Amino acid sequence: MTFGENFEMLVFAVLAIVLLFTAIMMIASKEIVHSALYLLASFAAVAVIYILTRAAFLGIVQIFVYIGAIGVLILFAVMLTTREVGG
Amino acid sequence: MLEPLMDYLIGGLYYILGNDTVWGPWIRGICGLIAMGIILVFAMFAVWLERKYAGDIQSRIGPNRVGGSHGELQLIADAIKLFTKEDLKPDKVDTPLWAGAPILMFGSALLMLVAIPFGAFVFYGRDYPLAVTQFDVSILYLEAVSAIGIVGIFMAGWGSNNKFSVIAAFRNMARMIGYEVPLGLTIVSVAIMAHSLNIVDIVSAQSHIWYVIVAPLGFVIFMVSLIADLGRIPFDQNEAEEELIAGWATEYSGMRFGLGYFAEYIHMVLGACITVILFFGGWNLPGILVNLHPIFGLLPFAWFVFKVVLVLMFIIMVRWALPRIRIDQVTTLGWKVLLPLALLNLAWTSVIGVIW
Repeated sequence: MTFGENFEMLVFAVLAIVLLFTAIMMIASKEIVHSALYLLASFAAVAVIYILTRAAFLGIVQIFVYIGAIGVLILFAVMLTTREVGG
Repeated sequence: MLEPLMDYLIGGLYYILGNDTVWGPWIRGICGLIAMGIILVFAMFAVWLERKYAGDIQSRIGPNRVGGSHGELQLIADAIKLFTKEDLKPDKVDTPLWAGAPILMFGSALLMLVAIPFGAFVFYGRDYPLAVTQFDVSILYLEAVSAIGIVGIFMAGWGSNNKFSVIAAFRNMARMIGYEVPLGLTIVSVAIMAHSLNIVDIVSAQSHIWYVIVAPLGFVIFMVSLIADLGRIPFDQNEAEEELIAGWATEYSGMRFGLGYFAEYIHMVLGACITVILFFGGWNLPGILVNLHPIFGLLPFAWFVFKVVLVLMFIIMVRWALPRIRIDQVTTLGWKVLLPLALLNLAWTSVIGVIW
């Protein structure tokens, strides 16, 4: 393996760990805003994995649609809910 | 004599930068760091320009003490003030969100930086864009990463645990959702006319006529949506200091506030760059700056910066000349006026794109 391939594997490993961590934390976190933000972070990790596999257009559309549109819509909906005091 | 040498040098440099050699990414990374430094200086210039220009509009002097009679070093003094201020952390903030928000906002502004060409070298009719990196869908990339900044403002508003900040974040999102759509549609209309999503191709497609002449409606929609996107008066409902103290920035002090503040100004400078690229032909001056002797190779760069400063001055002038409008009027304007007009503009540019 060349230096580039090794580096790619390293980046992929880091991204995979980040993706799994954020996906699990999305389910595990108590506060709904944190869940929504972890979801956005996992979207971002997926986008970077797309870019890593030479699918730059797909990765950018992933950021555009999932973070820019769906994620913002989820956050917008979350803001309409009431927050429990001390929750 | 000179031509083959320059060809050899620049061709070699572009070969190293454009290929996946070991050194290509490192050199590009260094170029990116240089661009970051330049844009920070430019953002400081924008702050100084804004303060002086605001002074002119309001018939006062503006900064005039630090570093000469025009206050050239005022921003250095401000930066030192921000750096040395106490870093106050309120008691009941949501720490990761509150601390991460300025980083995300600043990061979103800097991510936009890598795809923007700040002019070009022109040697014997060939353009060599001064961009850190080039790819096929760069204008889409710019739109995508600028949208990340919304999440940053949301995190600031929510994490501050303060009702004014939350209202500011809420208003910000309501506005952004409404104005991202016409902004995206006008960018799509430009891409249709240029038959490309690549910024460099969009600029070279304007070598005969600027798109502001072909699609003036699109330019107006783009400008309004851009100013709304930047969150400046008349669209600064998220910072409305008479109603919301300082909006999302209420609980921030020192350099945390400074990061968000600088992110806004970098966003403004980059927004002006995108306006120039999409509608004012980038570094093109139709018929004149096409076949230059290498001595004048930097002239297109200077022309680009000149246009960017003009657009910046327009954005600043709008801020100090207009009053703030109400949030319901903002959303009404976005959804009921700009969106139909943007669709009309899209239809018009589609016709143009088919004909050309």
